[in-house]
Amino acid sequence: MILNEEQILERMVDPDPSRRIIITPLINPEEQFGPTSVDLRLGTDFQVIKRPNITHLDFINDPKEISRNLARYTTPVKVGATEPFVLHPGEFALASTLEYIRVPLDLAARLEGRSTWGRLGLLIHATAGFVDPGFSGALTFELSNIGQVPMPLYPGVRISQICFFESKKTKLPYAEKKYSKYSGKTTTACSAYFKDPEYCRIRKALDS
Amino acid sequence: MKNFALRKVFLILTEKIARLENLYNSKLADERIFGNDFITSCQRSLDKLKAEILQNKLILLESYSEKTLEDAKIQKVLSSLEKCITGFLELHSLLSYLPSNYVIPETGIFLNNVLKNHHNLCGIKSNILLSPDFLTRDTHKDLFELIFPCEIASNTLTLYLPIMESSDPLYWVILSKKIFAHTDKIRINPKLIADRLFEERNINLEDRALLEKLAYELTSDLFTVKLFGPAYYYLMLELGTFRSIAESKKRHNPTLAIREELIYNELKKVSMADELAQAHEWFAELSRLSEKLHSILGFEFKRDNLLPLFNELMIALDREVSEKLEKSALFNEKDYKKSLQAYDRLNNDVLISSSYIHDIDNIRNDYEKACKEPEESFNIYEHLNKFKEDPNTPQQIVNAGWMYKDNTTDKVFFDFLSNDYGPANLGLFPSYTTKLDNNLVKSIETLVIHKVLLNED
Repeated sequence: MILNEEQILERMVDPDPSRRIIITPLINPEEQFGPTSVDLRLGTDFQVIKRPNITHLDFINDPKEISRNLARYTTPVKVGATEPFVLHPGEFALASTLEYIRVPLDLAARLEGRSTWGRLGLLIHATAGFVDPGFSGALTFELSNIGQVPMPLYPGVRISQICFFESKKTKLPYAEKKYSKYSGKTTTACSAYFKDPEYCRIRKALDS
Repeated sequence: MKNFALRKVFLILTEKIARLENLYNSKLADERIFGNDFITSCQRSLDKLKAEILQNKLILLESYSEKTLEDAKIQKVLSSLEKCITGFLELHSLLSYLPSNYVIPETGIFLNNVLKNHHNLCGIKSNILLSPDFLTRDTHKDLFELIFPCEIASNTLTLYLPIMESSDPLYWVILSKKIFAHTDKIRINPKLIADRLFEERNINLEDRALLEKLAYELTSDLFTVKLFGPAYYYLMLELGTFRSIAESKKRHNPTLAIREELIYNELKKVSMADELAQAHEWFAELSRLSEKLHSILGFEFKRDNLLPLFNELMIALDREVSEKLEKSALFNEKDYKKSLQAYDRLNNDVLISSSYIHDIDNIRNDYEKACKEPEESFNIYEHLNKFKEDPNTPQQIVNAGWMYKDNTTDKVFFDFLSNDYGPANLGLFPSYTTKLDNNLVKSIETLVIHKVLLNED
């Protein structure tokens, strides 16, 4: 069952702190709350891939080397409060929510775009809009502009919304899940695909 | 306290070395850029330091017990500590030859932008010049002299705020105290003050020059502690303990002990020293523990004959600095209280860019009461709007961060020592502060946006 605005409110003030939804900062709740969702804002840090420097994504290399290469192949971009990040048509960039989110263990959440931005051709995630119970941190946007014109994006703008679903209390919170890679992060992080165990195994098999 | 003082100084050192190692692993160990010789020297220095720390692991663990360590063990740790300090400074000087972008990346520039947009900080409306070059001013001496015709104080306020994820941890954010020196509105000339004060006294030229030099540095300290509160105290102890030794000697700057005393007294005057008592005590204990440390850290004001003049100078500088600063810019008790609230949030790993205006329990009570009333009178916005938050200031955020760091690192160090960390894993040690630092950076960044969206700058 999806939570409505009153149920979200109730979970934000739950007497048991571990059952509370945390969304902070809530700059203007009147603007941000919808019937079954809360709007989230764009943060200030972005990761852009330097296409001219990369021939392909290397999945098999030594993880340290991949990590070093990722830093070489991606550009972190910070924008100031009144400075736009311009997303060009066809371009892909990672960003994160301005807000810090905490999802309790008996709720799951979904990050969705807002129709205002969808109408302009902005996608806020490529595939990963699902938020596990027990997640805390800033959520990552996988931004792409499928429109025809460059899109200046200002930090603090409400480009997305989060909605919550009830579930039974999980015994496998995201932060404690084996191999969880992005728990507690407050900044925009690149993919840590090379930490997935299957690549370790493939690397091992290739080495032997 | 003896045990704690010893451990504390090792803890600071370990974190510094671990951060250097992370920097080394993520950036410097690239033969294509830095060449073989440089990499080998760095690696050798790091290995020596790590081995020295690990050799003392058992004694350090023992220091957590109630019993005071035996003298022989204390001496062993101290001699190791002295070796570490020398090694650390060697490594530091090796790294100082690097182009600044390898040591101080874009965080400095980012924070510069933050500060430019955050006009209320320090009560300064003009642009705040904040340059990573402050850290490498020896290698950019000409440029510095061009920008700052006045003498440059050495104790820039340096915050340890990494911007990236844990793979790239060493980022120095410089909130340079030079912001005061080149801002017309609050320009102050410590040399003139010293001259004015001593012109009719019979002081020899050497002593006079010494006091003038001290005046620059201490003016800088006074500005900073008045603007940033207790955070500056923590910061100075942690970063100053190892970084300033070489500089202090070279530049005849005031010793760490003089600074410590000045800042501690300043905070006591405004009732903000309670939290710092333990830090004050370990620092004093450290000075009692070892003569050699005592002399390299310079715990005393050596020239007793100058003490009365020094005290007079301090009073004059304090008066001048207080006059130049707007009251609204001073870090006050209200800021301190908000920092404590933010510190509570940090204990739960939550972002501290803002604080709730209404108490959560009150929001719940009001809501529950309203639910019992007729539906027509219920207005959901009335309740939702109570979640509106107030942005904190960068000073409040930074203070909360230092309180948190000071209160938690000892336990983290214990866990670190207790687990079977080999030298290869030393880099894991600072991951907890990296997380904290990321939270602080994100908080500062977020509060700026928050303020813009409230349209109240």
